[in-house]
Amino acid sequence: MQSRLDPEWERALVEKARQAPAAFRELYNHYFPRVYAYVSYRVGRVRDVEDLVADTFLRVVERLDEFQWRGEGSFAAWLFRIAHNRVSDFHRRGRGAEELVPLDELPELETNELLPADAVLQREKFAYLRRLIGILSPRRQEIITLKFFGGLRNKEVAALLGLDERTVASHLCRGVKDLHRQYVDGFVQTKEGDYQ
Amino acid sequence: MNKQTELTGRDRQLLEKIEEIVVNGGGERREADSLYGFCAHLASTVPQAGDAFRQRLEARLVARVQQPQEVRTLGTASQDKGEARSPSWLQRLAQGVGRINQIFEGGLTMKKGFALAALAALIIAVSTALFVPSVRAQVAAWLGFGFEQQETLPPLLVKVLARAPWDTPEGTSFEMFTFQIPEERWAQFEGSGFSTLQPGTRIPLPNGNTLSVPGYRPEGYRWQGVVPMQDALMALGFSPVASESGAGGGSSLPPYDSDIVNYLIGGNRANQFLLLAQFKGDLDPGLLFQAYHVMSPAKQSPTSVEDATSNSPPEIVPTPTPGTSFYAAKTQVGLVIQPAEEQEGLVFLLGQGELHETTVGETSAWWYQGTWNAVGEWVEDGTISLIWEQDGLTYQLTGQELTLGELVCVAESLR
Repeated sequence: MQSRLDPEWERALVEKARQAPAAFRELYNHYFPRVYAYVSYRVGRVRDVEDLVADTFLRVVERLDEFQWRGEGSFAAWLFRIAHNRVSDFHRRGRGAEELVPLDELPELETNELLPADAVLQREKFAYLRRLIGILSPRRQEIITLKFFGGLRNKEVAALLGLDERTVASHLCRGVKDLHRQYVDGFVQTKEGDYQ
Repeated sequence: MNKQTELTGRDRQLLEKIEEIVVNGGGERREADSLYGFCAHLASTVPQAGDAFRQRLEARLVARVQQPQEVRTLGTASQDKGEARSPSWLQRLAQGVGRINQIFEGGLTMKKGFALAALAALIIAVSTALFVPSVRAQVAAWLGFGFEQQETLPPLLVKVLARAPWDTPEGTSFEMFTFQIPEERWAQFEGSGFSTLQPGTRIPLPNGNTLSVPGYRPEGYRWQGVVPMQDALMALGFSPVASESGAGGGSSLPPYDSDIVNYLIGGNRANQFLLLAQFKGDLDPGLLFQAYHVMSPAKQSPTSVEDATSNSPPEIVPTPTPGTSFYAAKTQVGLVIQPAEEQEGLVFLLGQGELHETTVGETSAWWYQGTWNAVGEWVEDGTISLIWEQDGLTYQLTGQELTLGELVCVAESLR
């Protein structure tokens, strides 16, 4: 995860990005990995991920003129609201209906390990974590993926989902604890086999 | 405080730790059995995009950023000149309203009444000029500039019908076309030294329309000229495709030769293709358009072809199944055209394919996954089709193993 942008610098970038490709590129390079990671956990199949990520950024470009700076984190919240809406729309259409995505259709993971076997193992871990997250309630799924992969602050997640910040914090704590419990139990049960 | 949202000291500690992990990355190696270790493990399991996708999208977005900039520069060049900036239309309007208020200050006199009537007449005249196309065109010609009039089509009918391509009701007329794309076409293409036309070049087509050479091509794809796949075969420096056609069911279909045309506009070394269909949407009576792809022997075993053929319902009449010779070729694409009962325009027949909305430029568009195969089954074989309207025509772009984003790029580069 990249560290967050300095708020004043980000504000300047957003204003310049409406006309200056260089400023837009910097914003894109900063947010692209986060949006991609968030959408990957919410959707899974790499083809769908790419479509939704492309759609998200195209809408960002189209609507950049409408964005109003409301302080630190407001751009991230705005951008991820667009991504969140695309993902919600995708699920509403039943596209991501409870199906196991084959490993080779999942995105690759950030890794320094170059051995093919490691890459497969990483994908299996991703598939397993994704399945665990999928067991949580939709709200907790959303909060955990926005937090861990979107890199948003709790107040940004709260603003995006229209919740109180304390509610987000509570869901986050309980969701992470549930996940950890499931992870440990599941890992013990399947340690002899694979993650599936 | 609500019990449900009450946080303990440990919870707060956990939240702080999560925040730290999210900001600094989850790179620290810990046993995931511990709660914090699990959080670090979760944060470090991050999917990443391929460089090709990331760069393609970046190029596309930057092009979009530059596009409106040029428009703005054309419209408000004076805004960039700092103090010389002229007031915006809104500011001018506000000043005008203030002036009108001054005029009518002190009550409505006969003179002011005439002024008000003249203003109302002027507004009506301008409105008329704007809303009546013929008047608008004349006014535009008189003023020495032109309006670009958007040609509108009847609503595009896109139906999702679970029906096999060969499952034509008895007596229904149909026409079908199948085209072979030779297995060795890539080698021929490379060997012939065919030179690609410049992007944006308008190619005159046999049906009187024109087609732009797209400015964008998916990775690994090369333009192979334009090969119309219906009636008049026209190969531009590239070996022609072979075709087979058939018809049946009784009376002839209404003429549509120049209304529906299918073109092969590109492909790659793996014989995956990029097809563009061009339609005139003002068909009356309407026509059903049903595209299908015939899998190559390498992709579909002869056994499965025989099985599927023998499993076809016997009562289906007619059965315009492609001839067996067609299975020898690498890839075949085709279409079946039938009259659309009680409907005008185009009706695209999709099987279980779900229809989605998207945009091509600023235009609404639709896309779906899958296609019909030779035995009348709807298959999700990595094919995506994109449908949109442009310059009074309806287009369908179909690609194999391409993303929707790539198809949209191709579509937008046709404009």
